[in-house]
Amino acid sequence: MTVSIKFLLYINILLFAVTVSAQDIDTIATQQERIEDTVVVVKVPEQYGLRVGIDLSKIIRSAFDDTYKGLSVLGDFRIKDNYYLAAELGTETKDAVENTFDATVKGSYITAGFNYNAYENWTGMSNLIYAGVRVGYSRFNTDLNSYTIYTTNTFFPPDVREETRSYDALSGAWLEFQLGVQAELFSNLYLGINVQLKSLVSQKEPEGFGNLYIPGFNKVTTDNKFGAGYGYTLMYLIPIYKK
Amino acid sequence: MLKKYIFGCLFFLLALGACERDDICAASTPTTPQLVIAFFDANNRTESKVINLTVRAIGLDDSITIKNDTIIRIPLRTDTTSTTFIFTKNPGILDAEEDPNNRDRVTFSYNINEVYIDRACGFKVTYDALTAQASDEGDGRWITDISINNSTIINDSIYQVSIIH
Repeated sequence: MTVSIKFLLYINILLFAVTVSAQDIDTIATQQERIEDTVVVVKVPEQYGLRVGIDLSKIIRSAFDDTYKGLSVLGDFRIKDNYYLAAELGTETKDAVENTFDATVKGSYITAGFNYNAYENWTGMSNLIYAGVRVGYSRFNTDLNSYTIYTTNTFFPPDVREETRSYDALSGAWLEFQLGVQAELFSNLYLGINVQLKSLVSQKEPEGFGNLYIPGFNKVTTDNKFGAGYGYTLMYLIPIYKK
Repeated sequence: MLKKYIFGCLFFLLALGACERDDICAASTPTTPQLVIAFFDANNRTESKVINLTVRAIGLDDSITIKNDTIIRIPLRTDTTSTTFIFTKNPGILDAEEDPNNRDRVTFSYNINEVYIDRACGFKVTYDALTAQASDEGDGRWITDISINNSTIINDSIYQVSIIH
């Protein structure tokens, strides 16, 4: 399917036909038969290279959300027609202000995997609509800043504890599914957006406390291994070769 | 076309991020338990006996009043390892048949265990190695005997202390 559409696209350009997407299967088939033995297909070389950038959503959120600081760099590398190796490296600090306690989670994370581009570009364009898979790993610390012993009885005054407790060397690992689009704004500069669905595979929890937030994975909810996220990326393509 | 779509998505996602679910501690979640005391008859120690009682903690003005009940639930301090109460039997009932307005001092000592429940409920305390001691307040003891049935307090569905009167 993919190959035949691409094939037809090139044929159409040669025949000065403009639209390929509007054609139905029947005309495509007859056209294909008619021209098959007369046309030499010229393949326009496509850009391959390393694309690097930042996640703008983390910068925007850092500016507007007092409880959040985050930064991440990401990149992908086209390895084969529609396949890209992709990775992200980031750091996040999140204050978890809950009903009866207040904690700060701070750490960094890495995700790596690949994207499959399902978007058929017109010649010369290089936009992406992609699906991707990642594995993610985070190392972080949690500081429990203050907490109140939870009780439904109000006979005694609230038992508030202010001494900070630090839990170090915590970790989490997850699998991630990503859907996204990337559009070329200017030459080699891409703006993208993606949504992420994550499934926690393992975590190291603090003794006598729990993981509230895992950098890269986002909020950890009670009795639920799923997490979600989104990214808003700005990337620059460093061209390496054409193929 | 694709660019417009990306800008549109941004606002949708920013709006989505603003509506996180509030975590509320469910009433069914066991949190810090209360001490459960059952009252028994001094003449027949297996038989429950009703009591009129006020419970006041040392250092606090508030009190808990119990009318004609055989079992009570009272909180223990979570910031120290002992709580002292003044138990007044038949409070203000000066013409009561037995122990009119009689005050006894009861001290409960215990170890505290802090337990993390979850994000919504936070931390609770459970108790173990519970001991109890009763003494009179100058007007004679109405508590014939006080004993520990269960030295661990994890939930308040069973009684831990029995008082004979």
